[in-house]
Amino acid sequence: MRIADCGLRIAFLLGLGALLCATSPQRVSAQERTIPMAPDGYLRVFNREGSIRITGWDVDSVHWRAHLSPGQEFFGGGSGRMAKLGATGADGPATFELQVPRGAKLVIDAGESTVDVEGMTGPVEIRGAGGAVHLSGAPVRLTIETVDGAVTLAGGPFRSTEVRTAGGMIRVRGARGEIVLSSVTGAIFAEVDSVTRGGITTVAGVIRFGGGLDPTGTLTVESHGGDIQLRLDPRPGLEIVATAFGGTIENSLTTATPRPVRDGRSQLLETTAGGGGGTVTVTSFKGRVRIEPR
Amino acid sequence: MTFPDDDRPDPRTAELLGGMPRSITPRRDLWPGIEGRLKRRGTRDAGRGWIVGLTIAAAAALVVLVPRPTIHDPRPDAESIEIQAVLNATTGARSVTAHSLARYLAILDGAIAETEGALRETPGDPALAEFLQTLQHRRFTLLAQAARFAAES
Repeated sequence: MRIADCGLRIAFLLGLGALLCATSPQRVSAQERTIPMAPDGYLRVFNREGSIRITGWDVDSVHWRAHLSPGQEFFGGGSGRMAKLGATGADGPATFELQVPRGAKLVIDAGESTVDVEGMTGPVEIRGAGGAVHLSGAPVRLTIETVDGAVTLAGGPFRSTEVRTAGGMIRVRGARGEIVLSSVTGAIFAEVDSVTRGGITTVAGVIRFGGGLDPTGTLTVESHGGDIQLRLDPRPGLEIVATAFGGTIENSLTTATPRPVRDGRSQLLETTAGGGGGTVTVTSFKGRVRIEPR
Repeated sequence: MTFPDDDRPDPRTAELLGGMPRSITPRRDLWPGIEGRLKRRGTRDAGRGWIVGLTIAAAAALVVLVPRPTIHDPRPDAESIEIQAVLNATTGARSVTAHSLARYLAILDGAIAETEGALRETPGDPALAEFLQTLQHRRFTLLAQAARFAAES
């Protein structure tokens, strides 16, 4: 009886120890707070790893909820005009969930974190590395830079958009006006309307662009090795100049055919659709160019 | 907003100011000295003009005459090697993003070398030159991104 009692006690203590060992390292500290912020204030968020989720709201304050890894410290605060917050200290994922006045300027240093932003109308800047970025809403100006992180923009209208990735895929829907999309190997898929000034460049990624230009707009599409597919709306009128130094050009938007240049080593297509208007310049070093009606 | 009349002097200061003469005639003619200094400065500036002109001419001669390094170099650019070393030192050799950045820089270097090769075959081709410029600009932005990443790590 005594031996059984002692065994039970030992088992209980071992179980308790195991429970403490299992829960202590996993425990995260949570922070939650609300501070006032002007509708057009400035907010900066820092995180190295984990996730950042930001929602625009019609309240003149910033509310945040943060979950930190052990050894991390939260920093945050500011005035009614500007504030910054983030995690510092030990490595490990931290998650931030924020509600922000939708007209505020938002600057996010995301590190390897994933970023989700929705409902913002003020300017948004996001700098990240490997984490994916997903944004919906209609920020007045949008600048995103990642290394490997995929970037997805949905909703809009995005009137001034600049997205640069190295290996991340770029998907854009709902952009118009000014647009700059750039990658090294990441594929670029864009559906854009009424482009006034556009530049889409890649080194080795695929470009698939569908859209139309403003009658006075310009669009430049350049690729070194990736294929380019353009589905263009001919109704506003277009003037197209496409050069393929080492690749080929296929055109089904107009009846024009590319002609050989540079001793037959390159192809050049010059054509006009819908009476002319916006200018599209396409340059490919060794990829294939396809131009089709949208 | 303040206006001159807002800062009127107190009566005592006003009285003292009222007693001051409106203008003072110098005891000797200062103009000959001023004129002399202006003339000397003019002569010195003319001398500097020669030096500036000579420097510009020497710089132009250097640009034209000194052989430039060959532009077609398939090896990774020195900047790329340096930035890779910095990334490894700051982020650790196992950093995925540092590896990615180094790989993308190498891809860009390769594309630039390939375009430069084509430009050597058709020198002066404006479209190729512009295309090369775009690649180089993209490389600069990636280098800046890598530097920023290293600094923040």
